[in-house]
Amino acid sequence: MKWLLTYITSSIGKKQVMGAAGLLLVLFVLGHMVGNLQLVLPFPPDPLEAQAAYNAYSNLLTKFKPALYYATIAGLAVIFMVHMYFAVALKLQNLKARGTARYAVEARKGKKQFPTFTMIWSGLAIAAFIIWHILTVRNGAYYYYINPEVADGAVVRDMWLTTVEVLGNPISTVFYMIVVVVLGFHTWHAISSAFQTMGINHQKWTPIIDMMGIAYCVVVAVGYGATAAGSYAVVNFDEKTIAVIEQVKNPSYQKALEALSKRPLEEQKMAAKLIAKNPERAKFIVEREGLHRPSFEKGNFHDKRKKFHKKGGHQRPVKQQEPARNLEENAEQLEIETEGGEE
Amino acid sequence: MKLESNIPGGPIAEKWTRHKFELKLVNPANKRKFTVIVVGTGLAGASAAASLGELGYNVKAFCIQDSPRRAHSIAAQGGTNAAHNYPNDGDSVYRLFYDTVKGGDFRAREANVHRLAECSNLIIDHCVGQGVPFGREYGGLLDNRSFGGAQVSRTFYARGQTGQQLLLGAYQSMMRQVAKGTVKMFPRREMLDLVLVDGKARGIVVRNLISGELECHEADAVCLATGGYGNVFYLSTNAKGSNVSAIWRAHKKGALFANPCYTQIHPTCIPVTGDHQSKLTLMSESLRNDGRVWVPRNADDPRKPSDIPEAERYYFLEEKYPSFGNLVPRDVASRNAKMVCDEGLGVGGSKRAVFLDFADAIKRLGENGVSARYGNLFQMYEKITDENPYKTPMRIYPASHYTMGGLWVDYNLMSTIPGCFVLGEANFSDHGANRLGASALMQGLADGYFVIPYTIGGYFASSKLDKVNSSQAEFVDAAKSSKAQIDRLLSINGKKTVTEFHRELGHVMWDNVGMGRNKTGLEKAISEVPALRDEFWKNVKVPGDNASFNQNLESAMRLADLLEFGELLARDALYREESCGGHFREEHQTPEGEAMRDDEKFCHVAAWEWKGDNKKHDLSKEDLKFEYAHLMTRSYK
Amino acid sequence: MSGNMNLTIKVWRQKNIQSRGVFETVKLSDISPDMSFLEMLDVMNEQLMRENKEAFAFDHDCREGICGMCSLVINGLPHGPDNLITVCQLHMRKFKDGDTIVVEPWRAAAFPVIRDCAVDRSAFDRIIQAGGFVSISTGNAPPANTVLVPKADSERAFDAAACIGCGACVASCKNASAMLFVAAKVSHLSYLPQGKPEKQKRVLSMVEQMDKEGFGNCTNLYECEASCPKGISVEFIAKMNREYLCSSALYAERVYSTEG
Repeated sequence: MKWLLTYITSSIGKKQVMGAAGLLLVLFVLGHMVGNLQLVLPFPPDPLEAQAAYNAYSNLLTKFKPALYYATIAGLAVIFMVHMYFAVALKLQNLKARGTARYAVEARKGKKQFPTFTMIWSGLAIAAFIIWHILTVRNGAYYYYINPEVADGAVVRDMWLTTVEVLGNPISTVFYMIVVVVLGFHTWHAISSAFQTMGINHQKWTPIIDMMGIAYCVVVAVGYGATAAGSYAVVNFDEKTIAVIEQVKNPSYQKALEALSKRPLEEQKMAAKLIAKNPERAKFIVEREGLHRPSFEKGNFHDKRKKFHKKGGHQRPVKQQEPARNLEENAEQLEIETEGGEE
Repeated sequence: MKLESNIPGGPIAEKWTRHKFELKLVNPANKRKFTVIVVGTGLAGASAAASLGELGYNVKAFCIQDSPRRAHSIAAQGGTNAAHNYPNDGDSVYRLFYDTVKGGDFRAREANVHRLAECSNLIIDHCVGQGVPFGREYGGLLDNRSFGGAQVSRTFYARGQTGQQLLLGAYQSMMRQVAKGTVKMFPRREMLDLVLVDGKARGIVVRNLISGELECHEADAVCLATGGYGNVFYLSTNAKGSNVSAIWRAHKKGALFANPCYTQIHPTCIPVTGDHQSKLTLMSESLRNDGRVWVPRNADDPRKPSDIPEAERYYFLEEKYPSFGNLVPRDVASRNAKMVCDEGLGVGGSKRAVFLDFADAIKRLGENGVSARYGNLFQMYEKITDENPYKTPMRIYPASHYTMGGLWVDYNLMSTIPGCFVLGEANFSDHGANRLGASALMQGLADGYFVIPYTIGGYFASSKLDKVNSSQAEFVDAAKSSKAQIDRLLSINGKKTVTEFHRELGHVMWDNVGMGRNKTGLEKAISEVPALRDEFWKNVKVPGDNASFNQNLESAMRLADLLEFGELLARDALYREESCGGHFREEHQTPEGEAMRDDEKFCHVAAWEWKGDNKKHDLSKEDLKFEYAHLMTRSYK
Repeated sequence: MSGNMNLTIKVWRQKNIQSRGVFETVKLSDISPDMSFLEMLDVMNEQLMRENKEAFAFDHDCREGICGMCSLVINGLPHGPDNLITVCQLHMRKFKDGDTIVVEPWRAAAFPVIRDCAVDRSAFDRIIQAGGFVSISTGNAPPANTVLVPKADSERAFDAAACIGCGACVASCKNASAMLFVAAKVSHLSYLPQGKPEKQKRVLSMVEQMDKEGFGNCTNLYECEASCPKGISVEFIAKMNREYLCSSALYAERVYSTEG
């Protein structure tokens, strides 16, 4: 295995590993951008449709096979770490190789532009952005969402809401757009450089590869930029979107959905169907059904429940292991009750 | 001194083969007990060091530059000859031998030249094996081109960089041996003296050019491969570092110096532009393959060269020598160029230049065709003169380029000092009075790859060599006297710089001992050079000290040797009262201005023996016999 | 041509490897535009010596662009402002009357300064010793024309073999990387059938030596190619990269036989 170590510690080996990691990241960045375009395409987006599409997408990625999802996250993290580690290690070695005396006059003859000699800085900027991005989006505000067309009606995370909220903040939007341009420059040099580093340079193909690289950068920069700008626009100026956000963000609605999310799946699905039939009554359906329970902040639901009932539980007798209610039977009843009235 | 050439007997085609059998051998297991010093790492030196290392000898190689690959062999452009006859145009080992003897104006040793021709094919084979990127045809086979002095296409080339590629092949082979431990490399070391123990060459004293330290190195034999002495003219195509010092010091210890007056002037060099000129740049002779040499028929014709019609152009080489035309040997071409300039027909600002015109070649081959053959040469010309040779003819003028003279060696390449071998341009043997184009590279490699590995073994196996140590008296004394000379140079603190002295020496030599020599001029040189030398030792300014990297001290030491050597060169030219090859005595020429030899009186090698400071040299002669290439007048008409 | 340029030259002076260096300013007058740059430095040195100062040390030899010894950075550019030449081929007509010219050595940790602007480039020799050769001994070679080399390969090999080992690539690279130099030699021998038997071992050992010498890593800036006096292409760097990758993965040197 000594040969592997020799390879990884050699100048060319380090660059190739960094470049290969970079190419994988480049693919990731493209895929991530395409997925996120669902936030704003077709423009102007219908907020409910965009919300449904985006949340379905997000849920698919995260919940389809949780083991796969975590493996992917771990893999991405490793790739990022590898890319950054080698980039920094190579940079430090390069500074040392120049020696103690610097040139008094700095001049260049070559054709490469400034992105080439600022890669470490654009890279560090992107790294800083990624940390902030993860903290504010993936690990950011958690909202709930329910829609029978999404995950068969289970309560899922409202990723759409988190994201558009972040992008709706003008400072964030500007910041995103700057970073996205930095990313475009970083990948401009990165792609042609990575092919060269891997040893792919051919009189016939390299010009084509370089052009495709530029196309990639433009597409990615424009794609992300449009997503940010578009989201900012609809969040701040589109009445429909504003209304939806306000409705969905309603704290008690969110609390109710949170509680619902802990109920068995069948109940969630039923509630979803009901809400779909009667979207304006969504909030009340959820509340009304008595599904609103005290929030269980910590601990296992079942333990807490046992404890609760041991202590005496509700004042009124509570049935153990309540079967799923046939909500449909009660539906008409509900409708009759609330018909014509305000509640 | 009696000069024993040790030429083996038998028919000429068998001499070398027979000799290789008759030479005693050193057992493979014993080779590592012998140490060989190689001074100079050009084609001859690097190939010798590599080959000897491969055989198992311990080799110590020295060079003055920072790396062995810098030797001036690297600048050779045109190509290297071999008798493979791939073009099927009538070449053979015998023809190459014959052309070289004739081209040398019948002043070379036949046996040596035949050996050279025999080795030529092996050289190409070996260089191809090393990965030298020779020019090829589309079928994957080697390409050939023609060169001056030959009517067959026998030159193998690597674009305009043949010297560099051949040297890199030898250098790489040497580096392989350095990695293996058989060759130890000492760059930035200059040889100051040869050390003799019991009359045999047993080591050298070198100066470390970075620290100034003097180091003594012992060996069982010393090979000198330090190149030619063209820098005696100050302006030549040599590198700035090229010098006569190593062989001059050996000469002072007993190695006879042969035919120093055979200096070659190359016809196609870029003309001088001013006093500041530090060296002259060679334009490869291969250009004469496709270029046409001419001057305007009217002196001081003010028109642009492209405006002068054909009828008013004097294509002097084509008119005077119909069968060889522009491909006459170098000495013939150079003398004719000088003649037309002396008649006032020269071109350019200095009036000391002739045109080398590629208009016809461009018409015939297209600019791309011409660029494929000479691209880098045209680019080099444009960078230096700011003129575009695709649009206007090149201006060229002869300049000192190669030196056929050197230390006398026998058939085994050993000088008159036992154990001191001399290889490449530093020795005198193979080219006679004039070297043909593309044969210098051939000679250096033949000596290094295919001759010395055998002959040095013969020397070791047949000599008694006691162990020596570099702390012995002989080494210590040599180091002391070298140090004394250094101290003396540093203490003079005069008013004139080394460069000023060198330029003066160059003027004296070029004006009086250059292309055309006569008794008056030569006697003038013989009196002016010693006078300049005396002035040098009284008035030279060498700043700095010895214990540091001091380039002026290096130049001063080299110039001190040139100031002694220049006098010998002039004396040899005065002695040789005939014209042959590169040595042209104006008193000895035919009515048409061609060289006129005196085979009765001068068909011999003039080898000079050092007798001491300010003492006259002793002359020894080696008679030359021409049994195969019969003596005749060279005619290139 | 008469001289008519007045120039201010700032040269780097350094006594030896251990000392710190400093710039010295020299004013020159009457410089001819036809002079080469090194001839101008010769004039400068003559002037310094007449003033009883020590001459400025710089490496040079052939003065015709082929030996690779001359190694000066002129106004931040190795070999100066012109393209495809070495500094010994640079002529003063590239400068104007009144110009200030800054002269520095090749700066790299792997090229320690010996004196003023002369540096130690033995690292390059050690890299060649590590594998930049064909293992053939004198006498081994087959007849020349039995080795067929397609013309395109031979031309490409020559393009790479044209490297003069000057080190401008290292000097111009912001990371002091020697990739172009090593790639030139690796490619030269790899394109030729003569070099193929050892090509895997060669690239691995030469890259290892290059790293040991303390050169930096390539970031594909291509300043090396732009500064190279022989115009060596970065395509050769790509070739070395892929050969290194393949050789690392596939070179199998272990021999199973237990016999000697």
